[in-house]
Amino acid sequence: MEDPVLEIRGLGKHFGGHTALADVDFTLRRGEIHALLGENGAGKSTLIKILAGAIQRDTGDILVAGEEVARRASPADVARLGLAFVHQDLGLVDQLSVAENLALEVGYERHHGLISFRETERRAARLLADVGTAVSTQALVGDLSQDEKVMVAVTRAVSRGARIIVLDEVSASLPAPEFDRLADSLRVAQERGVGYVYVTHRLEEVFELADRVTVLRDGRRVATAPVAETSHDEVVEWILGGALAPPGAVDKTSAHGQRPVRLQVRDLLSAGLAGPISFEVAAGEILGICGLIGSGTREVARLLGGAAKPDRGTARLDGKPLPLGEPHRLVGMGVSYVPGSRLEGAVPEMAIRENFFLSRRQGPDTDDPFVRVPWRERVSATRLAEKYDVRPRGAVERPLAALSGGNQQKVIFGRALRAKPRLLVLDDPTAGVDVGSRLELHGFLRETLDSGTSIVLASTDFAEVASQADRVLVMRHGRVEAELPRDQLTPDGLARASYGTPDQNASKEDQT
Amino acid sequence: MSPTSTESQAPANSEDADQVRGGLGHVVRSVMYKYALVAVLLAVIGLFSTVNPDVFPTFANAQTIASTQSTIALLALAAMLPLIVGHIDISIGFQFGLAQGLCAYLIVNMGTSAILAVGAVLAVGLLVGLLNGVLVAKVKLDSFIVTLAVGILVLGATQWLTGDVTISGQMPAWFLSLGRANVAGIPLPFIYVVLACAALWLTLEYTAWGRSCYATGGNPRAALLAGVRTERVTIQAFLLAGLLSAISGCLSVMILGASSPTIGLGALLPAFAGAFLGATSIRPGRYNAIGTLIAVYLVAVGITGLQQLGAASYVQQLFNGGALLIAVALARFAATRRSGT
Ligand SMILES: Nc1ncnc2c1ncn2[C@@H]1O[C@H](COP(=O)(O)OP(=O)(O)OP(=O)(O)O)[C@@H](O)[C@H]1O
Ligand SMILES: [Mg+2]
Repeated sequence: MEDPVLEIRGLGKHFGGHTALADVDFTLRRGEIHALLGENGAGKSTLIKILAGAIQRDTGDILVAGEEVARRASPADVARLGLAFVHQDLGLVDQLSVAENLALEVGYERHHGLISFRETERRAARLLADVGTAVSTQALVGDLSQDEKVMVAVTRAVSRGARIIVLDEVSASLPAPEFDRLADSLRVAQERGVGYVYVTHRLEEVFELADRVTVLRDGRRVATAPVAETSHDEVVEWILGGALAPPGAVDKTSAHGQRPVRLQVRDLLSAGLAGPISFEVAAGEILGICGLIGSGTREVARLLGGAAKPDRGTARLDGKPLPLGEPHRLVGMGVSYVPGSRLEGAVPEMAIRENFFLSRRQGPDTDDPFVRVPWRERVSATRLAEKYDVRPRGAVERPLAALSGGNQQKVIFGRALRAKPRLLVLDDPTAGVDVGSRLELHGFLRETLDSGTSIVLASTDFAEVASQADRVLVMRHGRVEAELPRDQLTPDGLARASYGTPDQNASKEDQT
Repeated sequence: MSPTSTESQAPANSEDADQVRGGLGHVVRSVMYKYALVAVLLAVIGLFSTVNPDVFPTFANAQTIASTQSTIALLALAAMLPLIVGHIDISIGFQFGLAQGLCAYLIVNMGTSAILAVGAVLAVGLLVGLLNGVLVAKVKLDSFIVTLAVGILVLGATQWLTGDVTISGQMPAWFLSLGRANVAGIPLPFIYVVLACAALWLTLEYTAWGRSCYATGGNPRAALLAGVRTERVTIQAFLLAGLLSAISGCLSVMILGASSPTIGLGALLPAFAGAFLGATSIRPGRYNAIGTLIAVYLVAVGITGLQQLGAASYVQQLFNGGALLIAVALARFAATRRSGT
C-alpha cells in the first residue's frame, strides 16, 4: 500500500478567465480506492480529463509509477501507462454489440487468423460475469439502458488489466443493490493491485468502498484523509465549506385520498413491461417508483414523459386522456419530463439561456409564446440560473456544454419545473447533483406540490425516493410487485423490496 | 443562494471576479471571431481598390456584383435552412434550374401572364420542398439521398420541359424591370436579398420557431422531449428551402430575360460554400442568415476582383474552394481554442 502508482503535483487549469483547477495535489497508492469528491463544478471531471490526455494542463506534474507523464501526452500514451477511464459519457459505441465494444478494448479473438465471433463473445461473457453484469453479449449497446451501459464500460476498463482505473460518476444511476455488486467486483480487482480513482456524489458509497478521500472545492484541494478517520458530516463540511442544513423536515401532510386524483393510469403496457400497470396519483402527491435496473421503473417514466409510446393502456390527467408518445402535446397539457439520460435533456452547443427556453410552450414569459427577445430572456435565464444555483453565475450566454455535469442537470431540472406543470415526470432528476444542491432541488419539488402538481418520481437513488415520496411502487421484472405507504419508506426497505427478499413476501411468478 | 453555508458565497464571488479579469481578452477575442468575415470582406475590397483603382472601386462595379450575386445569395439562404435543422438539401440547385426553366417556359412558350407564372413556379417549389421534407421527417430517410434523388428527378423534369435549351423571348417590361431596375442606385434584386436575409435573421434569432429549428438541429431527441414539434419544423425548413429556390429562379429570369439549362448546377456549390462559410461568423458555430449573406458577397468580391485583374475563369472555383477550406479550418481552430485544448 506504500508506493504511489499515481502522483499529481500542483495541477492547474484555466478555461478562458475561469480557474477550474489550482495547485491540486493527489496521490493514488497501489490497490487503493481513492474517492475524489466535491461540489458540482469543483473540478473533478477536469482533473480526470487532464489525466486522460483529453485536455492539457496549464501547470503541474503527473507521475505514473514514478514516471513523468508529458504535458502533451495523448490518450493513447496514457492508456499505455496503464490508466483506464470510465467517463460520465462512457465512450461506448452504440452501434456495436456488447461483445464488440469489449473487443475494441482487448481485441477480437482469432481463429486461424480470422476473427472468431463465437470466441469473442464467449470471452466477453466471461468478462461480464467477472464483474457481475447480466447483459447479453449480442445486445447492441445503443439498446441498453444507461445503467447497463455503465456496467459494460466498467467491465471494459477492468478487462484491460489497467493498473489505475478512473471512474467518473459511474454510479450516478445505479440502484443500491447494483452498486453493491459493482463494489464487489471493484474489490476483486483491487486485490490484484489495481488502484481506483472514484468520483461520486453519493457519500454512502464512499464509506462503503473507499480507502481515502480527497475533496476539491472551487478547483482547490481542501482535504485528503483516510476514510476510517473521518465522518460523513466532516466530509460534507469539506465539500460545502460548511455544515449541511438539516433537510427542513419534509412535510408529507398532503394525505392521498383527501386531495382529488389527478393522474389515472390504466393498464399501461409496452415492450419494456411484463404486465399492464395501473395506478393513480393525487394532486400534490409524489409517487415514487423504484426497482433494480431493468425492472421497468424507467420505462414507466418514459411512457408518461412522452419518450416512448405504449402498446396499450391509457393515462388521464384531470380526466382528460393524455396523448402518450406525442411529447409536444403532452407539454401542451402541462406535463414536464426530466429524462433519465442527460443526453436527452438538453442541447449542448446552445447557450444556457436558450436551453432554459427550448420550445414554444417554454418561453421566458407566457404572454407571448412566439417572440423571443434575447435581452429579456437573459434576465429570466439569469434569474433561473440563480434560483437553481447553476454555476458559474451570470454566464447564461455560454454553451451548456461548458458547464459541469451536475450543473447541466440543474438546467434541465429547472426548465421542467418552471413550466409550472400539472404533472411532473422525473427520472433520476438529481443524478450527478452534489449533496447540497440536491437538498435544494428537493425543496423546489415541495414548492411545486403546493400548487397542486402531481409528481411521478422514478429514481435509482433509494434514499431520494424514501425521503421524498408519499407512496412508492416497487417494481420487479417489469411488474409492480408492492406498494409501500409513507410510514414504511426507508432506503433499506426499498432495496429489500426491489430485490424481493423472502421476508418481503415476494410473489412466486416473478422468479423467471 | 446556497442555504448550506455562508462560506460558499465567497468562492462564487471570486469566480465572478475571475471572469471579469480574464473577461476583457476573452470578449475581444470573441468579437474578433464574430466579425472576422466582415473584416476580411473590407480587407479584400481595400486590396482590390488599391491594386486596381480605375476599375474596381466604382459604383457601377458595386451594382453589378450586388445584382448578379443576388440569386446565389437567395440560394445560399435556401441551403442554410435544412442545415439548421440538421439535414442537407442538395436538390436546391436543381430546384433553382426548374424554377428558372418553368418560369421562362410559361411566359415565353405558353404566353401565361407573368404573375400567374411566378405563382405557379412558387407553388411547384413548395411542392418539391414538401416532398423532400415529408420523406426526411416522416419517412425518416437520409436527407442526402432523398434530396439527391429528388434533385435528379427535378433535373429530368426540367430537361423534359425546356428541351434542354435556352428559352428567351418576349417578356413584360415590368417583369424584367423587377430584376433590372435600381432604387436610389441600389439594384432591386439586392434589396430582395437583404429583405429575405433580414426576415430570416429575425425569425431565426427572435422567435420560438427559430429556437425550435436550432434545437432540432442540435439535439433532435432533447428538442422533441422538451415539446418541439421536430418533424414539423423539419418539413417547414425544407418547404422554405423550396420556396427560396423558386424565388431565386424567378429572379434569375427577371435579371437575364431568359432561362439557361446549365445555370442551376453552377449555382449549387457557391450556395453551399456561402452557407458553410457563413456559419463561421456573426454567430460562430451556427448557420446564420447574416453570416451567409456576407460570405456569399465576400467570395463574389474576391472572384470579381481577380477576374478584373485578368485572371482566368477557373479562378472562380479555386477561390471558392480555397476560401471555404481556410474558413472552416480557422473556425475549427477557434473552437478548440475556446474549449481550452
Ligand atoms: N470546456 C469548458 N469550457 C469552459 N469552462 C469549462 C469547460 N469544462 C469545464 N468548465 C468549467 O470548469 C469547472 C469545473 O468543471 P468540472 O466538469 O471539472 O466539474 P466537476 O467537479 O466534474 O462537477 P460535476 O460534479 O458537476 O460533474 C466548472 O466551473 C465548469 O464550468
Ligand atoms: Mg463532472
